[in-house]
Amino acid sequence: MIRIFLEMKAQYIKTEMEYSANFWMMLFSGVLTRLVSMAAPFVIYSNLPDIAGWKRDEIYLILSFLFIAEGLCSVLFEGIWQMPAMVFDGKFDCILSRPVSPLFQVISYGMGLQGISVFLVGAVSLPVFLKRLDLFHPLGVVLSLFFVLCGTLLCMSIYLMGNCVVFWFDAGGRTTIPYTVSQVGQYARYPLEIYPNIMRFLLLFLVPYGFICVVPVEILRGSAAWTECFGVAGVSAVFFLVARAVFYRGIRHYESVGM
Amino acid sequence: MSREIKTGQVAARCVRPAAFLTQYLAEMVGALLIQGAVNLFVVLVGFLCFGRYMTIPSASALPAFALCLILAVMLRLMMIDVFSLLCFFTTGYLGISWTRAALFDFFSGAMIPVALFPGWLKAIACCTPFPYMLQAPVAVLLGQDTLVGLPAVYGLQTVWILIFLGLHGLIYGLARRNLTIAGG
Amino acid sequence: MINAQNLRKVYKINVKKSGLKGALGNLFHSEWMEKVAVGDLSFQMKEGSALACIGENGAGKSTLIKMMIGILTPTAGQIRVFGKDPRKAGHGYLRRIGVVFGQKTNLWTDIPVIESYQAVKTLYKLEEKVFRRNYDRVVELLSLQPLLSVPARKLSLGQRMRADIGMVFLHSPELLFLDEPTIGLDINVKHTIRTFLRQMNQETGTGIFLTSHDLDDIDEICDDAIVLSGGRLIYDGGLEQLKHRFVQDKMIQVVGKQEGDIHSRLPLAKIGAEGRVTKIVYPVREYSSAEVLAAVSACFAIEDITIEEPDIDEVVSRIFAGEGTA
Repeated sequence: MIRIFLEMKAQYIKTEMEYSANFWMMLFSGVLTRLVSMAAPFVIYSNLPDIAGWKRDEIYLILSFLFIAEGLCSVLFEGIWQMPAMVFDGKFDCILSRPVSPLFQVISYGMGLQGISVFLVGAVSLPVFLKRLDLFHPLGVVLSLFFVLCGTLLCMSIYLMGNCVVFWFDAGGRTTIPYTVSQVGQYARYPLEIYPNIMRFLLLFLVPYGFICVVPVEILRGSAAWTECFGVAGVSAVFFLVARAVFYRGIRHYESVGM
Repeated sequence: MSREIKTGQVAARCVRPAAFLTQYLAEMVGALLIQGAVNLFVVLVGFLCFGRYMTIPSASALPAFALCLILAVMLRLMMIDVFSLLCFFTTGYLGISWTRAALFDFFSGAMIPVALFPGWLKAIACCTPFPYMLQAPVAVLLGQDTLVGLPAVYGLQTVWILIFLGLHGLIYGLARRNLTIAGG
Repeated sequence: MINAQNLRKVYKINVKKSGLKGALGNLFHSEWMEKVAVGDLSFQMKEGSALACIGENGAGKSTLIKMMIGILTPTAGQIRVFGKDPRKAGHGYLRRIGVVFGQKTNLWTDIPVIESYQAVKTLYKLEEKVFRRNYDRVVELLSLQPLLSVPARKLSLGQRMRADIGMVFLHSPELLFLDEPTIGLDINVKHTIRTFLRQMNQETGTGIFLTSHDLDDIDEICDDAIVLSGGRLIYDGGLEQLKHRFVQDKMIQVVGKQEGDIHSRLPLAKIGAEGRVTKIVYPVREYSSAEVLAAVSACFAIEDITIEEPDIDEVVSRIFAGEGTA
């Protein structure tokens, strides 16, 4: 199964590379959007000495984790974003009539090219800022890899949950709800201390972007106990199971409603 | 519009007896009016909840603001138009769309007010058209420092609109000549 | 093979009122209306046969197919395929059937056709020998060789349909569901596909359940037919009987100089001529299409020829009205 997943990805890249203008444009947009994201803290820190006691490099570390997770999700699981179109066009019927898990089919469909450069930006800046914060030791690296794994799984689950609304709301093929949900992640680029409790709850347990990037850095810098790692793993696993359940429930609903 | 170009539906637009740009502007203004009404409603609700945190603009700033706003909207529409035209030359529209959004979000002050930029970055920003689409009208409304002085703001807005009009003519002409629509 | 009993499917449709006031009303208060797509439908299909499902738009054909595949839940009644409930039969069931949707493609749109075929081999867990045999067969019979390296989205409709139909035979399905497979295709491609389907049905015993508007589709592929109208079954039986009872006349229009005596060759046909255009209306019970075409080619220097099918809606309404002689 993994083999065919990777084979299809390879196929997509090959086909997309035929359109070189678009290919490079997408890669460029990935780099530009993330550089712009990194420019914002730069501007803030040219005006303030710190944010709630956090140093600038720590903010960049948060962004690194976020970019790696987002990048990997775009490269590996982009099919999730095609789901509204598939349901609307009826292509989802084709998926349901194959003897293959519909979830597997959805996530293996397509690739977000911008994810390549987003991932690269994150992958390059992660070791840079780990080094600058004296965290580039074996434990730090191992923890970082662990966080990257959990973060990617969590990011995919959030995307999946967001896009599942299309099973219940017939939105004419285009709905902005999934995108809006992913935009909540914008707030998870800063330490959670600056937010009121409601926002913290939202970012940690409803749309757990907090666990993708902020909590990992809290653990690394020492402001959260290492036992929080279980929290990260736990939330990632639970959220994935919930997203998967929502997905299959959504299919059941789609099958009973039909149109 | 970028989506229309990708699917090839833009051909219908090209054969209509109205100029491409006029069609686009008419549609966008119509859509913006509706969006504006909705946004105004949301802002009013927000004001009722959080109004005490917000600076109230003085009425005397309104006329200057109105002109600045109109120019800013025109400028923004033209910018979007020119970026969208680039879709005639590539097969996908997302890359161009995201690039445009990234540049706009940062340099227009939508993410962080341009006034907070370090000096050298502020200078760079003021050379781009983006601050004049958002930061400038807001500054005018709130009576804040407009970085280049009010007459210069109007001037730059107008100049950039003309630049984009020129770019539109150039790119659109090029596109029309090379127009092929993916078949199948 | 297929057994449907009192099958029923009701959709809840959001009633949308027109005008601005209506649109605002929809925003705050939803009114639901029930639409019976399929009502109290019972029929059976034998092993290895080719069954046509005829009906006008909205007659419930697509709904029926979706229920038989198992991607739609019936509101009432039951459907059994291979003796099992498609909804509960799982992946094993899906491996035994094949589905072709006329308006959507089973192929992965952005990758070359051959890669889609390879994907089928892996996803359906096919043995190399079986796959290779089926693959060579469909490529040859449907002339797919030039299409194999092209991504599906670049294919024309006819090419894509051929590739789709080829794809569905790769895993040797026992039963094939086709929902309007020839819609929008030109006559050559239609003929290729029909011949192929007929051949596969007869050689391998693959059951075929086909929906279509086009009577010739059904004519060339199927033996039995069920007719749906408004979600109800109004005819169930052999195709020949259906035609003989309800399809009375066909029309052929010939443009060209008449050189022979068409009247003497087709005495029972009504022939009207206007200048170079001759219209021949002939009763199908008396003459086969082949006979008429032979007569026409013998008697005319043909410049252009059109064959007009009786409208399926006409046939259906005739059935409904209880017309037609036994």
